[in-house]
Amino acid sequence: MDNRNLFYSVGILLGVVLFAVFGTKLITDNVSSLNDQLAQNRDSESKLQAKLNSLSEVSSLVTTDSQVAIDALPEKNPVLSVLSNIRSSAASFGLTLNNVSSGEIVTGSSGAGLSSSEIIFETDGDYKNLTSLIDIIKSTSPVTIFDSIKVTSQSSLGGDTYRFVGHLFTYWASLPTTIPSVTQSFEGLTDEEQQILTRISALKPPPVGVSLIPSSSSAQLPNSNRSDPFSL
Amino acid sequence: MSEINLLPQDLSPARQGLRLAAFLKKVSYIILGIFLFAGTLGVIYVVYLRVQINFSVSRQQTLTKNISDLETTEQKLFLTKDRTSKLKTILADTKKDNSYNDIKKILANLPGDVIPYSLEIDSNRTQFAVLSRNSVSMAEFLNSIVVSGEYKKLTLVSFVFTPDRGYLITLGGS
Repeated sequence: MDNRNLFYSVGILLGVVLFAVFGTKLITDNVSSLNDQLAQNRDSESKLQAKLNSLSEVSSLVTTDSQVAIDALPEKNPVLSVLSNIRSSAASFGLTLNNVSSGEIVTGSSGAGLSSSEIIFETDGDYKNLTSLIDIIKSTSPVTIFDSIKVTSQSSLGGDTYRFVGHLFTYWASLPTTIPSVTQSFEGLTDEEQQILTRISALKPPPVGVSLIPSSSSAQLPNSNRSDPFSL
Repeated sequence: MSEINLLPQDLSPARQGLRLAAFLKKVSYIILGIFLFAGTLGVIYVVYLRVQINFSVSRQQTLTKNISDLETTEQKLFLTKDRTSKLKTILADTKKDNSYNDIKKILANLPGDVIPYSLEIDSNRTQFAVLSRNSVSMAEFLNSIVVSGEYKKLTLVSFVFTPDRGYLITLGGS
């Protein structure tokens, strides 16, 4: 009878210990997993909050900035618009363009999805007007880069008439087709990109102001449920 | 003859067994009590965590909706970032631009009878020429370049004098 009591007590103790061990493990596992889940959720929440704050802050400026950026680097080859700008600017100084040619189109030359085409032209006029023309071309969107500038006096004795031969590149790049998902963290402009934006903001808009930012689209992006905002 | 147990009843083996059994039961109850107490706290904590997670999910849904409302802003910003990162490549090489600006500055401040003759900037060279009938003016021009400090190094490419047009100096910059 005593032995049975003892075995019974040992049995209860073992049962209680096992119950406590397994119960404790179950609860601690649950707590650990829920803690991880909560930490992840709070992390996502803080990223979303940061993204919302950043978007709210830039909201008022972004429309101008994006227009400036698309003017500076359009989606389609801007060679005609650039030529038209050069021609009208030259005309405003009483200059006439000669031997205008648009050279080879180099696609993706810089490895950044950029395409470029070459414009060569020449014009005769006085030195001051020619340098003013160069300045206007350099300070008007879209961005053009002079590959070579040659201004030469047309008289061996020096004089009023100079010939300017310009050789410049104009650029364009296709619009992005994917945008980050809503939950992806937001990356604003880097300092370098901000400097570029400041620089291109100083450029005069192209003469024919056509908004190149598409307003809407029903196309679906491959990795996102958000419609492609840039698709025409 | 009957057996007589002279030991006190407390010390009998049966009593020791009973005492041990009672002790083990007590230990069991203590462990069970501690576990139930800690377990109850654990369960409360689990419920608390679940409530917090639900709150967090709810807040995320609200934030996601608010971000979606600003989708146009985000798209425009993304577009701006895309354009500026590409323009960075184009505008990286400022050498020719700087050369042009430097020469333009020099040629804009020429002494009276010194006139620009030519200006050439390309990938291989940067050079310009000025013409003057007056050697003093030409010396004044050269001095003004030195004083301006626009160029750290200037090379005299050619110095030509002809009676009909005067002095023609060609300079190369770097």
